[in-house]
Amino acid sequence: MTNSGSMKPTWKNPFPFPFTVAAIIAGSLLGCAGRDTPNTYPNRPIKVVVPFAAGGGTDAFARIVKKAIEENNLLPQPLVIVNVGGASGTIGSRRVKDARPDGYTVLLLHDAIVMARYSGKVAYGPSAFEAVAGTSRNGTVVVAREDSRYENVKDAVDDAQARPDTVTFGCNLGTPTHYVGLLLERERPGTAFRFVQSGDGAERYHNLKGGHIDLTVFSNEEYLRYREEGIRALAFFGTERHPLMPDVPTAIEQGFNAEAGIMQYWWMPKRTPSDRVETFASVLEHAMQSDTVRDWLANVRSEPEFATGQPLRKRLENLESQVATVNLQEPVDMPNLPVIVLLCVMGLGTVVGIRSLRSTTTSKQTSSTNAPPHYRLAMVCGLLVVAYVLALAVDVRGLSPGFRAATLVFVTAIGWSLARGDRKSMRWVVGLALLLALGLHFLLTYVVVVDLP
Amino acid sequence: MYRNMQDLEAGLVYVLQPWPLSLVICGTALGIIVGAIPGLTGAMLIALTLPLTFAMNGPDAMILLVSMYVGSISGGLITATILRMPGTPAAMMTTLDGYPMAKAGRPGRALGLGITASLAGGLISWMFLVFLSRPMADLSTRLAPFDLFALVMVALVLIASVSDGSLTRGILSGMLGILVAIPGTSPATGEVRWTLGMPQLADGLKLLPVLIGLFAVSQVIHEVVYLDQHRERVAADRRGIFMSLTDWGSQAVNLLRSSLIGSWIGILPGIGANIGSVMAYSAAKRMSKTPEKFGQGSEEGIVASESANNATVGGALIPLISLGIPGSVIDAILLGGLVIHGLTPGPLLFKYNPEVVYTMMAAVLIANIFMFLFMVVTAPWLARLADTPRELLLPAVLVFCVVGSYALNNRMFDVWVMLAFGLIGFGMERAKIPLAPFVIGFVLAPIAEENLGAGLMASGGSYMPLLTRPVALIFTALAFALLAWPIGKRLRGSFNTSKG
Repeated sequence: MTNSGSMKPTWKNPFPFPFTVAAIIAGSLLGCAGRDTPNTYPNRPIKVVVPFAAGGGTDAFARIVKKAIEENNLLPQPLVIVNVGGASGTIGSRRVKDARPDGYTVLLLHDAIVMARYSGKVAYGPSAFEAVAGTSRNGTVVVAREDSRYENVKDAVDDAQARPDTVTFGCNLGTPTHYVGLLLERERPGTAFRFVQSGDGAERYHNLKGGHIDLTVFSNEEYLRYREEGIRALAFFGTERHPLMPDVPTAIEQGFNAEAGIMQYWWMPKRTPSDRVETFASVLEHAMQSDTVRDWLANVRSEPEFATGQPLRKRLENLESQVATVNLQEPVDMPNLPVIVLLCVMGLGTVVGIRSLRSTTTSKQTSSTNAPPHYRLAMVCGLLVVAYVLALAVDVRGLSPGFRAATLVFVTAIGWSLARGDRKSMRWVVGLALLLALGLHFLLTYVVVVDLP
Repeated sequence: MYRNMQDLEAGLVYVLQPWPLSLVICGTALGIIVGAIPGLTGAMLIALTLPLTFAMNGPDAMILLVSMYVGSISGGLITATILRMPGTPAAMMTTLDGYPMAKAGRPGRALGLGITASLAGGLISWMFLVFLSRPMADLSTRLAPFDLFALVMVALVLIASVSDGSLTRGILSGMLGILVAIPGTSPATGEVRWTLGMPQLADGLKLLPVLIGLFAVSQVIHEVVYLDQHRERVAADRRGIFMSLTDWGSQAVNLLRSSLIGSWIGILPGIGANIGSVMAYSAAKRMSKTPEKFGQGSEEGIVASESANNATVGGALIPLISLGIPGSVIDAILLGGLVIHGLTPGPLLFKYNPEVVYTMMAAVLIANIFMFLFMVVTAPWLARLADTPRELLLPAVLVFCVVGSYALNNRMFDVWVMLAFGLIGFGMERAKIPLAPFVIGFVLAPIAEENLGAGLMASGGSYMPLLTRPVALIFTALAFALLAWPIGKRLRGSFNTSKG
């Protein structure tokens, strides 16, 4: 049995191969060569944060705009769509708000950005961003099941007035879908729906069909998608009837002064240089005129509207003043889960702790006593990993060692400490380091696009 | 039904043409390789491939993505068996028995069981996919938030009982997982909590960095600390890679049960492969004549886990196709793929784009068959990962972990999280606290909270629907029974021993 214990590990000679050094230098040069930074915007990919999961309407729109921009060569650099979903879009919007204002991080978020502020989810509204442009507009429709006793929205509101807090209204809390319900309440004092958190369009459809909610809100596009699937439109929330659904009366016709659409807005962090904002806005304007986007918008029944500059600001101010008239704060009666879980963990932890203290006194020497554990080696490796991650995280312009160089040095160093100077395996380690550094860089830069540190 | 068959035939004919077939082969092989590399998961591969499919037409893109899905769920079993690192989260339960069996000198057998079970699970769930997609569109809408909440509770209790050794430690681990899921944004109310002043925590901790840390990094630490420990070589042989007829006979019931469980769990929206494999594993353990072997290299354990996790693929595609609701993380990405290609997921897909639905189904079938052939041929080679000298393997694994955690969301924060969970995982192992319930608690907590929130809002704050809705009542009762049974048994046991 050739155990490694029989071979004396050799700790001396830290640089066994001139070729190691040469390789590291070559790698560093490669790493630096890729980093020329001319001052034109954009000189690297622009990240578009979609604050919803992949597959939603906003996500699809972002991707079609990306496609149009690439087809028509409107930008020298690609757009990278990053889905950061959750909490009605506030997780993604917060990330962009806190991002560096250099024009390389863009947020695509519709009217929910205003609602989020007034629902108390976040403390910031549109004024925390630079509004780049508003693109495309979709209407909203309140719907019920086909077999519902509500023929129109007036029936539903009458019922919600006669029996407050019984008619369930499925929505995504603190978003335009919630706002539409609140507009109806505002228009008829004494009305109270019971708002239920029901997720995105597909989930709301599922909940409506399953009888878990009485009413919900769809965009035009969602309504037209589900129209044949056992639902009934009660009111369209535009100023006049929609040409594609002429039989659906507007809320205004039914005596409710309520209008709500969904416009997709593009945002950059506050204090982004205005020339960059304008460059991106004009790219969007051109993309909106492309056949790709127009066909797609026609397909999802959206208007190809475009707004920027003063008209956009006016529209946003108007929207904010409307949203301010309703109360988007919906108290949710949840048990205090964090505290319950914390108490459980503390209780169980104590039990387990006491038990293991008792059992260690009886069974002390059960672990295998084969060789002494290498805590110091582990510490060294740990420090190397931390150094590697720090090297990748360094983000001072020009000082970053680059992915290739950092990986090359890291793999060689950690391989060397694990091989403990064994010359033969060092050759393999350096080969592996080169393969990983160059191969992964190639794979992630050219085959699949990840923006590497 | 006749219509179904005709469309399916057309789908099969299409997939067997050279270009679609090469997509299936590429997708499956890549999926298996990525699945076999700890730190890279199918979800990541598919998310990263999605932009590449823009240039293809809809059906071709879905063929490629679905094949990667099948491959990646299967590939995870290789590293799970040989390195005790689940290459994908879904292979977590396979580590419990695959690794001990490989360590005991039967790696070929362990891999063979896993691969064959994967094929069987994939094929059985494929039948479900073909025959159930349409009817499911109607049925699946009946589950209310409280039903889902109760179902998640059942899964949580089950996982605590799966963990070997002490039930208390299992529950503690699950609770720790839930605790770790709490920082960030509440899925029920949207309120941001416990961010410890770190704005990155408003996103909460992501599954992938936590998982990579717990399983891959903690294992690397373990390997480094015990570098000179004498290790049984896990020889890369193929002995026993094909199951014999007797095996088929003895595992038939287990295969069928686990595949059924996997398919059904897959069908339920929002619950994916991990839970399917957990449920099948614990069911197999309960029904087994030799439950004490589970966790020590039980054949039944490997078969249950692998057939169930592959079965969830077919199962999880059902709600995606029939309702447009993803059954797992990967399905959420597939959903995005459909939308990008202008295909409206949901009931209407059957009506207007049957060719897409049935090419996807055909791709699942062909990918499963190819997966089996590829794995049987290359598993011994892929298994050589275990023979790689540590000084080569560990740095490579670490680089993949770092890149993988980073690429998920393009931020360094996740990399630090991953390293931290590496230490936590190592510490938990030292304290003999099982890791699996931790992960399940972590994954299920947001689902449970979201559904509880929605349920409470619909009921006006009342918990009565848990008892008045039949489905919810069944699940609630089941959860209590599962919790009470081991405790009751323990109490009776200690009562007996104290008497005697």
